Amino acid sequence: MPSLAATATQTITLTALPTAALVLLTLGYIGLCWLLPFRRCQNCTGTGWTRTPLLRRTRPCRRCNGDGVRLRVGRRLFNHFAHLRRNAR
Amino acid sequence: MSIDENRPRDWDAGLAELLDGGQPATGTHFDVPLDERPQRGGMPVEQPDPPAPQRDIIPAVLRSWPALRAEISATGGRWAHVAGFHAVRSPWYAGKTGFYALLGGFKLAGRQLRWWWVDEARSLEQHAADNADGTMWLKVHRESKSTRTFRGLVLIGEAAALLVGVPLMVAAAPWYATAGVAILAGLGLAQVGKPAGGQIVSRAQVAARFRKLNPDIVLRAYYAAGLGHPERPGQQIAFGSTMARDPSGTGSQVVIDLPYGKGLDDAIKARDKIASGLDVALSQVFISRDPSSHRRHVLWVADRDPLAVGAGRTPLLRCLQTDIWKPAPFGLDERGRLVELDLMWNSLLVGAFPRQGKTFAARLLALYGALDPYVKLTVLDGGGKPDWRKFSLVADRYAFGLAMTRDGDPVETVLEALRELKDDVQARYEKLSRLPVDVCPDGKLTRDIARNPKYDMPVRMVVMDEFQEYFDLGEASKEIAALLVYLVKVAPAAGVIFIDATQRPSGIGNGQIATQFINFRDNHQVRFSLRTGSYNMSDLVLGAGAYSEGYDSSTLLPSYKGVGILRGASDETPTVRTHLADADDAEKILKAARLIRERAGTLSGMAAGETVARQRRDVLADAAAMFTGEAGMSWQRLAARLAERLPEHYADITAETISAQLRALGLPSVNVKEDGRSPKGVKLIDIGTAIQRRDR
Ligand SMILES: [Zn+2]
Repeated sequence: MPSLAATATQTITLTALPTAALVLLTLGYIGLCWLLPFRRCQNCTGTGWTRTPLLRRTRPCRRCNGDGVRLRVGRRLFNHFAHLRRNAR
Repeated sequence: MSIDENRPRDWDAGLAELLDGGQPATGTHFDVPLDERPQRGGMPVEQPDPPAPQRDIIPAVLRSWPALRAEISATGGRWAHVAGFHAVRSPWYAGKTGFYALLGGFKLAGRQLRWWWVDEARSLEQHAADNADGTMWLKVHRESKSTRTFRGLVLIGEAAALLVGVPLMVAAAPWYATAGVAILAGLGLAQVGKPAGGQIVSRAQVAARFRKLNPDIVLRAYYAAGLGHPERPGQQIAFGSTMARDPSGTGSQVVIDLPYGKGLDDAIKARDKIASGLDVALSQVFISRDPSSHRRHVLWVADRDPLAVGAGRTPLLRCLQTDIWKPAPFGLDERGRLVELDLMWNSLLVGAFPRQGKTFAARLLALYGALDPYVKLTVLDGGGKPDWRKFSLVADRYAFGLAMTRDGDPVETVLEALRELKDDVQARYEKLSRLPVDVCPDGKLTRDIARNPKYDMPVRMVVMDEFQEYFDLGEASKEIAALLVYLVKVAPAAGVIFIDATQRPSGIGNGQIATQFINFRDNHQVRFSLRTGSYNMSDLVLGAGAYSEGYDSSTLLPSYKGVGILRGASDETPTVRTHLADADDAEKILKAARLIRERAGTLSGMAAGETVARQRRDVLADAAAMFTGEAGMSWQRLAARLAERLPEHYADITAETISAQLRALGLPSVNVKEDGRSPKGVKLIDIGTAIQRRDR
């Protein structure tokens, strides 16, 4: 009997832990999207400037329009849905 | 001609000269050029302020030991009550304070956290994120980040101070200091934590539930009444004083300055709107004149309807001798001040709906006259109510009702009394004009003359209730009306006071009589109107223009008894709650008055049991004397004979009037034989029976 109980506990732990972690991660990401909606641009590493591959000239980063930061994907999704919802009325 | 400044001045010599009236020698110090003569015209100067009323140096309370003791014990008692009240509730207060302090702690923490996180910047950041505006977000984010860092440091410092300070305090400081700081902190936190407008400590005294007036409410009321405008230039209402409790403690008052061009009458006309704006009953609002300016007035708002409370019993119940030359106490005005009425040289008209206290009001003043033994009273009641009967104890002449009594025909008595009054008034003017100047300086009755039996000119008081009845008697009214009109105009100046009450101020009859009624009514100087039916009836009693001045007795409530508007007695027109003297009181006072009169030896006339000498003709005997052997006689012939043989008494007699007079005495009108016809007439034998019946 004790072994059975232990097995049950183990099974619960095995399935629950990843779920909980997933939920936590999601919540954390949502929080991040709210607190810090922008992240550093990967393309220009936050400088806002890139070099052309041919002549190595500097020009504003195309991805972030020279801001050096880009909206997180989550926030972008959220904004998109918010936009849809606003237009749906 | 100037002063020699260097010469020694001989003051004594100068003074002597001045006293002698001698011309000062040139060169003395009196030889000074006079000022120029003042020019005519001049200019207005500011009037000096009247001296402000001075307050006592030592308050009245501190002047005597018993007063001081009473004040101390009263104040001490009040404080003891407050202290006990709060002492009993202190655990409850402590619990409440603790709870609110805890709440306050959380509130304060939340407030500081919000402060740390720079809430307003956060919403800007979100806005930037919504619009995917990276530049904007970066800018705001960098700024708020540095703010957050700084504020975070402050909060860390605060927390550290608390973490170190509190244990240190508990460990090192004396317990009372710790407790004191804890209590202070608790109170502070409770102040933060308690809901807005909430009270931790409850009131020991029940607050009087009076509407508290404040300037905002007053302004709202005046603007709502259209007496000004809050925004338009020059149309604002201003205050001439601060809002204050009335010294009598029954209301609040304030001096109001209306905009230029608006005056007292506008405010009086808008009184109902002001009452509505103040959210009180109309009867609680009083607007009175301020002498300094027409646009300024005093607004007094009573805490409760002042007219609903009676004025109490009359001070005359003390049954002390009064003096008609002094004002008679009449009642209390709306502010509880005694209203006194100067009766001398006056005539008073009292009018109202029936059963509003008109008779009581008139009787109150008659009682005042009764208690002065030197006042000769004449009481004529056209209504014949029991209210006046007891005046037979003191009145020189009286007539109650219109019906025949053992004393004779009241109408005859009235006529007789008025004729006698007219003769008396005429004789008075004659006598007064012949008195030497040192006795009678102004050609007017004085107190000394009136009280001196030698002159036989006592002050007289004529009281008539339901006088409209005397205008409704057909033939007899003609003379009565003429006499009354004459008397009310002329008699008051001769020391005959008139107090006349009626429930029909609009008048009675038509033609000549109606005119005379109006003439009589309008010649009264002082008016007192209890509740009437309409504003025009109120104006009839109070005199034309009363309504436009804001005085309307029809606005008095039916529940008020003995409340009326007194106009013409002074500059003010107060609403008076008359003192009460009911039937028992009146009887008591009149008995005392009779005693006072007996002692003074002034009981006279019918009250003294004298049968008044009547010039009145014995109509029955006169009629009987007209018979020369006939058994019956037509009214026509009887009238003709009376007119022919007794012209001094019966000049104007007609068949109708003699018929009416004799039939009133119980004689039947029968057919009589006369010259072969049988007209209506009277039989001699019936006259004989009537005489016998009367003399029995
Ligand atoms: Zn970039």
